[in-house]
Amino acid sequence: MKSRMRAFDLWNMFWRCFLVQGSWNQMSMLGLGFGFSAIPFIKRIYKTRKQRDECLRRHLDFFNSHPYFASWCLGAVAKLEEEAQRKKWEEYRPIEIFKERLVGPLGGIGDRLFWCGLKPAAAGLGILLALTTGWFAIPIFLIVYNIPHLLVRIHGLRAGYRKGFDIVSELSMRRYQKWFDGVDLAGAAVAGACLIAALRWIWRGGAHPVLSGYPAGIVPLTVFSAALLLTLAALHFNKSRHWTLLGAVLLGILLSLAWTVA
Amino acid sequence: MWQELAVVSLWGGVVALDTTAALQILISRPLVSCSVVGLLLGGFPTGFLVGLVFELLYLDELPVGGALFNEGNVGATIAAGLAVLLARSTGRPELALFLASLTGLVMSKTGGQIVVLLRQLNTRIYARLMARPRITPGAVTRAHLLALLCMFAAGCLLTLAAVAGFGYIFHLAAPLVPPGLDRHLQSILYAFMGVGCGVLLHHFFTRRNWWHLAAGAGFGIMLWVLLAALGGGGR
Repeated sequence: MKSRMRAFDLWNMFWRCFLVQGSWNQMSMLGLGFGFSAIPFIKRIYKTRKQRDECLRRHLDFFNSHPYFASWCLGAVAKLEEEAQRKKWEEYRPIEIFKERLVGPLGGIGDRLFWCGLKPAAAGLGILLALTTGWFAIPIFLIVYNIPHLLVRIHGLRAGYRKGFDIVSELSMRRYQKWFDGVDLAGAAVAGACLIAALRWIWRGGAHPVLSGYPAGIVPLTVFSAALLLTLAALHFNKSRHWTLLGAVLLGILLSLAWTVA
Repeated sequence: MWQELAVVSLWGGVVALDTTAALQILISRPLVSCSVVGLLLGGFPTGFLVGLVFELLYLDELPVGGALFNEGNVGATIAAGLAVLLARSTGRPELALFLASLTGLVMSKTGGQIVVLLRQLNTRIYARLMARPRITPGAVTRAHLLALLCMFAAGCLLTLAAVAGFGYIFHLAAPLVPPGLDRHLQSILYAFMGVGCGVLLHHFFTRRNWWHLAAGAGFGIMLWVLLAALGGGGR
């Protein structure tokens, strides 16, 4: 049977997904954002005010996921609501259970892949390029991060709408393990290269276009190394990086003064 | 001056939105947002430098779910604005960078607390919506956009208050700092970078992938040699 949804509705849902986390709250978490993103398909599928009210209440309820992965659930729910309307389901509890079951995988995969993996790795690459090539780093950083980001959003909405309940087959942690490993390994390599790039930048007085009064070489390098070691120790013992930073700044100023006196 | 402050404040609102509420395409990351502030205020190198060090520092900050996090993006944007404006008004870029960086740290903490307050406000908006006898698409849209507007306004106001307020105070207080101390205050830059590199290494180092880190370091050394052979390569 032909779908009631139009391509325009999917686009409308797609851009709304970018705002899904805008009203995050302690009661429904992403619930209000999800309801906002669901409006295009609700308006398309349900024609009476009462039906729309009931459907909105269902989707304004608790929901949480990684923001980029919310489109996966949204596409699938649009498909299921359409089916429910067409086949005249007596109750909508299966859709609610389905949404509840997706919360864990969508959050776990998204946080692991993007927040813990790709974001720091892309930022590390941006810093590496910033230290070696300058402003060129900014567009590269944005492109490297946003291509996978947009692909995940687009694929999720389309696959969710195509597969409905079956979208769960695409959401096992094991399926993504190689991506997690790949991003971690790339991030480690970038971190190593970044460390050397920072040493080179400090050694050569990279800040000279902005700050002119400091000699490149041994003093900045000593401050940098002391701060690095202090931070590694502090993070190992779960101490705040802000206090570590203030300690390192103080140490740096004292070292600099001592060097001048000597 | 007021025009510049207004533009930076609006950008602060955009940064606050992109951090958690909308888009999340990372234009709010310090490397990007501080460079934009630098461009807007006519001090791109300073903005870029501030962005570089704050990006390292807050590289692994996770805006996950209801977690309380440091709003490093807005903090860095404020730091960049202050650094450019203070360097211009005092003529002492080292002192400007020092004061702006410390302010950025404090504002990151403050921003994190403001996000908590905004989430409480969102809870009230949500509760009011659900208490309505009939929920319409228009009511949902209004409630959601109101929450977004509050986030934008908070980012704008925080940026405006911090850049204007601290900028004025530091401008008055700058003559009290002996100029001879300026070059020593630059240590903050290298301390920031050291802490940032520590954060980066700690985030990615595991027993399993240590050799990738070593390979990356080897690549970095090769890059160093290559750039030296090519005559420096620029910053």
